[in-house]
Amino acid sequence: MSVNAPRNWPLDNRLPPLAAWPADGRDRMIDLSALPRFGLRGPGTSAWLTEQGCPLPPTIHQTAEADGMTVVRLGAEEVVLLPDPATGSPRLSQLRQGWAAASGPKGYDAWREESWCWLSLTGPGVAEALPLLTSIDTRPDVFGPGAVAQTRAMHMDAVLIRHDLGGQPGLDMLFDMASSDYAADFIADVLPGFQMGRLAG
Amino acid sequence: MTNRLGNGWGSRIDRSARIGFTFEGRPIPAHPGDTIASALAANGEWVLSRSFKYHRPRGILTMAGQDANTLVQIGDETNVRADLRPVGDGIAVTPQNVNGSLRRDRGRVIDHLGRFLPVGFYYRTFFGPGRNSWLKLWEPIIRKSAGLGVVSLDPAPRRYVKETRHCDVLVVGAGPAGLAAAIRAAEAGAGVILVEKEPDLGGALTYARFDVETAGAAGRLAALRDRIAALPNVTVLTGATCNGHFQDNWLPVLQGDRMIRIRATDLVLATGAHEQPLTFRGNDLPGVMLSSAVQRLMRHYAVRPGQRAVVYAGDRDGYLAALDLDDAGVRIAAVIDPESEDRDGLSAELTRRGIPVMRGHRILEARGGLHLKSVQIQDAKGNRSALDCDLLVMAGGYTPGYQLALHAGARLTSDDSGTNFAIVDVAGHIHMAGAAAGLSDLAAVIASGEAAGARAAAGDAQDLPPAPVGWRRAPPLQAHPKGRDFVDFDEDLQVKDIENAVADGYRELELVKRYSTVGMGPSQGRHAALTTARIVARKTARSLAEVGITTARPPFGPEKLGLLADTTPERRRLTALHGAHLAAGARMMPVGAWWRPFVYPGQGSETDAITREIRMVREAAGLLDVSTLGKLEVRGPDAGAFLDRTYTMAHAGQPVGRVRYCLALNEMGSILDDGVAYRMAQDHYYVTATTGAVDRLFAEMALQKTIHGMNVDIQNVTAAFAAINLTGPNARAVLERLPGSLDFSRDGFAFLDGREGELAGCPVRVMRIGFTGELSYEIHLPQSCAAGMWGALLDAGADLGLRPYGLEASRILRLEKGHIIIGQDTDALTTPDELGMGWALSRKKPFYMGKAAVEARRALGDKRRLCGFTLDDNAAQVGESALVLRDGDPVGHVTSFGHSPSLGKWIGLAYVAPDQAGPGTPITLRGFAGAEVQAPVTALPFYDAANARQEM
Repeated sequence: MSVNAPRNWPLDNRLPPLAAWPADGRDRMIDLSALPRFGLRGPGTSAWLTEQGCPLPPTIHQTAEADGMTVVRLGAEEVVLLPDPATGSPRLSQLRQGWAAASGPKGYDAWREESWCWLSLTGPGVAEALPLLTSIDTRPDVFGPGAVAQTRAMHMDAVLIRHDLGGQPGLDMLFDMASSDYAADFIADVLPGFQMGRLAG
Repeated sequence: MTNRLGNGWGSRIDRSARIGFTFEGRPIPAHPGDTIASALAANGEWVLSRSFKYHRPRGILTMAGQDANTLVQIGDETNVRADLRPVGDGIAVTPQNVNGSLRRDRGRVIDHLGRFLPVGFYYRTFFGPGRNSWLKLWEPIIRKSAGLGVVSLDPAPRRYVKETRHCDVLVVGAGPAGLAAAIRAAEAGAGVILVEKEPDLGGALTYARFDVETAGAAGRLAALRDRIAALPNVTVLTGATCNGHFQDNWLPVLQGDRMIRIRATDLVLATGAHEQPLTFRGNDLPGVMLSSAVQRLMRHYAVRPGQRAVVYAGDRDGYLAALDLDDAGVRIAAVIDPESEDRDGLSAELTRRGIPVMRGHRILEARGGLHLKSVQIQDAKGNRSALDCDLLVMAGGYTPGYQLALHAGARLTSDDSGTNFAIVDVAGHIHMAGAAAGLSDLAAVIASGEAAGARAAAGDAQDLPPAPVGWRRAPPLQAHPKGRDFVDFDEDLQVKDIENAVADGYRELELVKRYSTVGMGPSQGRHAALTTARIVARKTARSLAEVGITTARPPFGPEKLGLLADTTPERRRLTALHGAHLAAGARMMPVGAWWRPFVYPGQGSETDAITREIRMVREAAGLLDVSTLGKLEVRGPDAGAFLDRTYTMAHAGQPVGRVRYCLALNEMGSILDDGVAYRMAQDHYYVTATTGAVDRLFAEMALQKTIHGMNVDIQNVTAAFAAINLTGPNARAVLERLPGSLDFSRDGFAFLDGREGELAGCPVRVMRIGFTGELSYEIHLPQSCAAGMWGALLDAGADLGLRPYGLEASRILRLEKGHIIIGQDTDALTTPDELGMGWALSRKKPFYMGKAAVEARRALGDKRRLCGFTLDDNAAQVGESALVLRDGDPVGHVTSFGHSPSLGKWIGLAYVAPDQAGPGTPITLRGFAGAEVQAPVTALPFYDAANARQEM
């Protein structure tokens, strides 16, 4: 998808922009929706990504880290690639361009930049925040760093990814883009101690 | 503070600090750690409430939150248990159910009218004297005297928290058995959550006396606490009540304004035992308390429970409580033992201390006004005597804390005397321990906890050893001839009330409960169930086992509605253009979870604005945000064949670049949804669905794909794509002003064409379709680009009369064209034939979803038809859902209705009998004002019958 027009994200006018990924170790909710991310699904996805040298987790609901990306495996033939929000990932953009130019079985564009809001929780309070957001078992030995769950959170379908960053516990949440404002309200209600902000793309 | 004991007592209070609150306006000093009840008792305030029915003075009974005597109100918070709630500095506490003041309650007169309020009186009384007496006379009286606090209609906001936790082993109860279980389970590697309703760990070890010497128990408590604190895999929740058990060990735990839903692999129930009150006349007087309540007052809060006590020792704990009272300096008038011999081996110690023991006696009556003054006792020969006292301690035996086990399907059994209990048929992965398992010896209690913890950690089946005999001596139960011998303190039920319920023909305990309301109050029968069962057994000449107990259901204790209700924000979905709508002054309305613009009112009235918006679309151009439309990507080699199975029309042969109407049925042949499919490539369709049905359709598609094993990928991209409907005679001119790659000319972009390209810098999918009957383009694009596109379109069309329009104008515009709205003009039984949409059913395809049912229903004949009708005026107040009548009987109803500015008439859609559906046939409508009006059936569409405008 080539876009030359300005793009807008649902929480642009609600959350203050952050210059960079904060390293102060405070509890925060950061909207990363404006960052590039790339999702593929359907037949050919795994083979094409493997062919490009992208390391795929061996089973679903796991992540792999490579080239400034988190490779999140959501199904046998469904993957989403997330950039490191602190450093970005040129490799992710290269993969997207390569996929657009490729022919043959390569999976289908899953429109993850558009379909999913991406909120990240970070800080020491994440472990205690998890039981307030979802009913799944979030104990560290069950849902530790690198674990992925496709479940219900904040009363809606969501993908939850335990992803520590900068030495801080972290949780990435991917969910219905149209519910971004609702999710911000929900988090403000149940996690009042989390400061909110957003990273520009 | 007049009733405080010295140092060595009061483990929970901080004597170094003072705080204060008011009770009924009187200032009450307290120490941090005090409960409201302990602080009141320390200051000589023994009357805490008035009873529900007779307004009798009531005070501390259990000191454990297990009775209704201590319910008070704090601000707008009703039914606060004063014996559990810590004192907050400066709070204002008021008593409940008081008419006047606690000490001078005018409602007390009811106590003298008791003979007119027999058991079940309300079942007989509230029918009369007139037909509507219940509503007009009784209900207001009952509401006024309901007695459990005053609900504020303007309460202060409170924050209620819900969370979910998981654990390997949940231990309920942190007494000696629970602590031992948690330790053993955690040492075996299990992740443990330990729940305790008290503010500290130890249960009975924190207040009870287990022997003449006390050092041993104190040492055990310290050791258990130390071991728990050293285990990182034990999470301790104090001040938390496990309020029920649901399937698969799913348990709600209440901790203040927090509800913690816990899923436990294994569950240890160390829920202790509930000490039982005795039944004698005046047993409810302030100053009459359970032995455990007396010990809690002294050991936890350093409160002297009285100056001169009589102790009823129905079991060993009575003797031990007497030793505690003696240690605290309370004079003991006598220890009353119903047995004729010393079975507990403690008489010698009492004799050594000079405490008189009266054997073979029972208590006949407690006397006093606002507080106990004396006790009348009777020996085995019937001789009566009186003992002056201000404290009567009852040690009358226990029932195990059985409620949670019974929620999980277990049964409570007892011997015929009702003194030995067992919980049987305990479900797998539930383990009983300690007093809940019928044990009372401290060493045995701890051992049972260790065994339960080990079993739970290993996931072993419950293997409960038979409990040794623990409690004894059921006190004799005889009704006092003058009554006021309460079985149920919450409901003011006396022995004679239960006896009379049986006499009225209610032999079964469940019926006695419903007739008398015994056990239905805040304490849920924890103190009344056993006594009631004994009375019913005696009066019906059956054993306790035959009588059984009433069903135990969650919740175990009171819970606030705020903990049950979802107090988080309501789910809502916003389109990418929401901000633009607000900026344009739109009035938004909910459509399911979505919020959409109803109208852009501007300066005039909404009605005028809607008319203006309709005319704008018909005469110039309008923009409607249709982002809430469902959108599906259907991709893969079998995409066409898959749509052929899903929809009624043919799609496999649909040319690339063309858009085709889609109609989906369910397996009953009823209409499920409609939309359009734009074939973007040989193996790629972009399909729209209605806002309300897309999730259902998507689920059905996923099911059909799996059933038929087709090579197709279906993705719901509703939120990913925004959609804008540009409609009106100037629509093409607007688009042609924007830079882009698409040819919007009439020849280059025909009606029902679909094109993919770039417009104003955005990637777009454009379809020449519309709902209004005008020249229309539906522009779909990534949601992140929507706001920019919306602005670009409005800028380009400003001088062409382009403005946004809202849902209400859209509703009328489509009605003028006779288009249906799924869910409004259809219901769960609507067939395509009823809508006159047989043209949408392929006759060539061998299969599509609902085909067999459509054909079967067609063979049954028409039941109704949807048709159009018009009215010149609407004086009859016809509206949606108004009835269509035939010979006075309803044959259908109006599904859509509104005023058409384009036609200058009222127009509508309605179901009518099949033979009424021909144009020109008059139908009868009943308006909401009650009048009937004739309307002619009108051929659809109402507007632009040749459909020429959309193909301009």
